[in-house]
Amino acid sequence: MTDDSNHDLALTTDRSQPSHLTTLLPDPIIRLHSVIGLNNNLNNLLWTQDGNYVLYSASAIVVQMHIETQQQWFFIGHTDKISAIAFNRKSSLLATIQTGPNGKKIKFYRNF
Amino acid sequence: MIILFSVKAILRLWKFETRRCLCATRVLNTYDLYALDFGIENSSSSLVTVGHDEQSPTVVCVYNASNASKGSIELISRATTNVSITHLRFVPYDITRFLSISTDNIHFWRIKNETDLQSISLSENQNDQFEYTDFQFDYLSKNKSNELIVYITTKTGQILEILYDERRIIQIHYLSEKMTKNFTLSTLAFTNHFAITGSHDGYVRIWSTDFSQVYIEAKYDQSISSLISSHDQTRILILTESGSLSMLNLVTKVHMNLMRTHTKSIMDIDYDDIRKQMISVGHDGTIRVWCFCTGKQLSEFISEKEIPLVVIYTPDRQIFACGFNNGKIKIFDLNTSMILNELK
Repeated sequence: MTDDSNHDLALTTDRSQPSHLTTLLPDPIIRLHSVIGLNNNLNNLLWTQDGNYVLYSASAIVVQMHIETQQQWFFIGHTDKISAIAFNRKSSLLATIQTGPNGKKIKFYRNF
Repeated sequence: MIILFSVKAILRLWKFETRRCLCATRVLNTYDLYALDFGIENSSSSLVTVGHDEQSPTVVCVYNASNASKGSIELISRATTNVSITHLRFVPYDITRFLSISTDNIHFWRIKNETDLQSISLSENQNDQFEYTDFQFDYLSKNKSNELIVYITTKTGQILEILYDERRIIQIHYLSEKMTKNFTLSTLAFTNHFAITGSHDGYVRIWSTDFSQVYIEAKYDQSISSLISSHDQTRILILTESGSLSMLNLVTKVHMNLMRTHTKSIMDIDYDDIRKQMISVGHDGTIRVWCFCTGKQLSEFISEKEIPLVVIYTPDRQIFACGFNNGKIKIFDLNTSMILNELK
């Protein structure tokens, strides 16, 4: 494995802007290095504006992959399969949505 | 009776540069979100999401995303409709109008009086027989008046040209006539100089924008499911139904595979730490050997009628055994790719 300690992979918080929230999250003991595979659905592929990276989702993670080196960075936070991703025009903001329980996990409670 | 949903219909916004999540919103009374688009007009922006609610009609939600970089989005409008939607896109540079399609309908949406979401379908007559698969907006290049055109691909190999403002089909390109029978278009992309189609026959074709001429044809292993052009229009990303992601450089015509993937659940893996290789088996009926440093697929075995469930290397990592759902165990030799033995 290559040493990826310098790469800011899979951090769930942004350390450059300390806030009270960041202190609540522990440092990850293991860090995601790479993901093999992707979700094969519509609206799941994006180029960045500069053309150096491709974005796609793989299960509940959005992967940002450098085209030449194929190094990956991640957007972690979703709790179910991501169904679509979209950029605003400047590629400064990324919007993502996740699928729900698809009707299977709907709970019915009878209230007498 | 109280019905509780385990609500998982979540929309997230991320600051791209830092990969930090700015906000996560539950899309209320909705589950199974499946379509999304960002709209831009001057300095304002909007987001639209499509999902189902408990009775399963379509729910369309529009958000004001102008302050999204500060972590807040605001629901402007929510509409429940029986219109089925597979694809949805904002009209370029207009955050009050968008277009949606599904196999059997084309709908023109607009937000009136800032919050009122309305839609009108393309008047049906000559287009009844078509099944729609994808669409793109483009401006009519021959015409100086800058009219907005919607190009819609069909399952039977046509491309409909619709004048957006008049909601009228102005031309139908019969690409199927130039191809084989049962020619199904699955996806479409545009650059300034080309139209790019992906089809079920596994071809990506680069056309002149009037679809009269094919400049490049590239064959892939399976039906093409997505195409997207880079912003500088020199390269396209191609995703096939078998989950292979490739890039085609339109200038140098060089093709590069970026990734392959299992298309269904993965059941088991085993790895070889010395050669940095890994074997995975999945419900898609494939046994795949990967390099786990690069993520590249090195080889693939396909079983058509049986599903591999478990896989394990022998200690010397030259041979592996694979167990299938029908009770068979097969022994594979990695060096020759031969099946050495079959046990049942």
